[in-house]
Amino acid sequence: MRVRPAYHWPPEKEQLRARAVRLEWITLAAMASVVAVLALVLGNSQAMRTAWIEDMLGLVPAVAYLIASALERKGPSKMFPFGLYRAFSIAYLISATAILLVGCYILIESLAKLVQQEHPSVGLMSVFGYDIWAGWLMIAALIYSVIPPIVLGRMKMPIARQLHDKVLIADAAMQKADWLTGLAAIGGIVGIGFGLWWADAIAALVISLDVVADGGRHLWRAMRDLADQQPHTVDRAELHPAIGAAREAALSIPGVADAEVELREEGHLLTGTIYITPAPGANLMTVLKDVRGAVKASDWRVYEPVITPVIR
Amino acid sequence: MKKCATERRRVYSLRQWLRVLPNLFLAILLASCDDFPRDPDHTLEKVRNGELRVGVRESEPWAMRNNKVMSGVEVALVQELARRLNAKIRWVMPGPAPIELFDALYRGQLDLVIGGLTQDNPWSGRVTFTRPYINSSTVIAASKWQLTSVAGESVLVSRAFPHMQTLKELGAIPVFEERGPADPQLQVKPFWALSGNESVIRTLTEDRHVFALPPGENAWLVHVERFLWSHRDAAWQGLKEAPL
Repeated sequence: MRVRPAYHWPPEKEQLRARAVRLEWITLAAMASVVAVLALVLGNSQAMRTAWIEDMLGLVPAVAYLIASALERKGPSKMFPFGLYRAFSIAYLISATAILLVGCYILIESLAKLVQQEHPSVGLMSVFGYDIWAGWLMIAALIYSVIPPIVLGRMKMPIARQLHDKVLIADAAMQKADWLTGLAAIGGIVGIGFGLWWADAIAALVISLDVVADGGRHLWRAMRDLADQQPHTVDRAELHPAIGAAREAALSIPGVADAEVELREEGHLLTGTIYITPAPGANLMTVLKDVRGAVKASDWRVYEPVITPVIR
Repeated sequence: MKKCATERRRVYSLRQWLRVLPNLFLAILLASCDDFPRDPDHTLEKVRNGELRVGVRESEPWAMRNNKVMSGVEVALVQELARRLNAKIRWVMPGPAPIELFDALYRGQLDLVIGGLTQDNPWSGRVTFTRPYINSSTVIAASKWQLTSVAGESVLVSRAFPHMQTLKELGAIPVFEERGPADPQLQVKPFWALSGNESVIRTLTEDRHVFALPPGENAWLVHVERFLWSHRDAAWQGLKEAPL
């Protein structure tokens, strides 16, 4: 089987990619530290436990992204003649599924705690010889846990937009929204402090509902991506302009009477087929070559388009 | 592009600080309040100047009853705790099974349960246990000589010892008190009961001693934990002086 030539990123996009990978490594380290800090002060609060599990889930998209990145760089081979550009979409699907499943689990756990009317006990903890109500330590840990995701999320967002990286943008959006988790968990613990035992369970419920919603939303999007839905802009608001641009590029070549575009997404890239109706008397081989060049130049994401004349 | 990003980052961190500040202020305000954390069922308020209902599981030397007179290391602690809160103690002894005490505690019918309870008690999920105020262990002690292994050796042990399996796994042969020799070579004893000439051959279990409280009563829990922590030396002293 013919092996496709590897895709070459434009130099400024290459830089952004390297930056994205670097940020994901930092995310891994930062979230690992957050998980460790939260583990130290966990105690009996269901809200804290839910926040802790959600922060552990934050590792999944980062790991998935890094693995997909490494695979994508390998390029097409004999075993994978189309290249592993789809790895990103697969990583997206796996992350979303993991988030949804774990979200369901903590949702059920939080509901059970609420229904059983379990009163969480939060006593004293010893820190450097001083006795402190453990709730204060939990609140401090939660404040710390919220800072890295928000900062990293904000840094990743613009890169994701410029790279048209749906996985990265989903990851960045989830991280940016982490302030809600921290606030809810802190609210739960302050509630416990005021003697409102149910505040903890309600906070946990809110957090787990948020996780389930995230997981479900991203799973739906990942499935649509893998089912080759029409390419959209990275925030999925509208059809991607590259479709129109490709058609315009094809039509701009003299000798092309009509053109139809069939494009799908493969990770970051767009591939597909351009159907040309050649004008009568046109040199077919020249027309095909010119159309190919024009379409490839129309958008940086276009990769190995197949130009074929329509046979009527 | 890089310069823009750095500038933007600085603005964001300032905004983040402004967001955190009112929360910090609230936290400091709350910390200065003495009334934080609170009890959902106002246990501490009810006990103070009121009645302290204590469930007792008899266990030497922690809590014992002789002709309606309570004695023991933990009993002494509870008496001091009640004195400080100006509370009248109502001792509650269990019915046929000690489990009833924990059930009553869970339902809020008792304020405290004592009696040599340790952290590995299976009720630790349903009711609250304090931080361990005494960390001890149950050991195999030898009075005459040092041994490296207890396999095949007879060890004097009380019939009620809950970790008989651990003893058997080590290969030791349990000998019960009634049938045992007067001067045993090897004996199962708590660490604090060792006399001067006895040495530890093997540690069998870690015993972290706790008090049990109703679940979620955090003001009460913090109060009792503070009290126990400040009195743990006195408790150790009481243990050493306890007749066995």
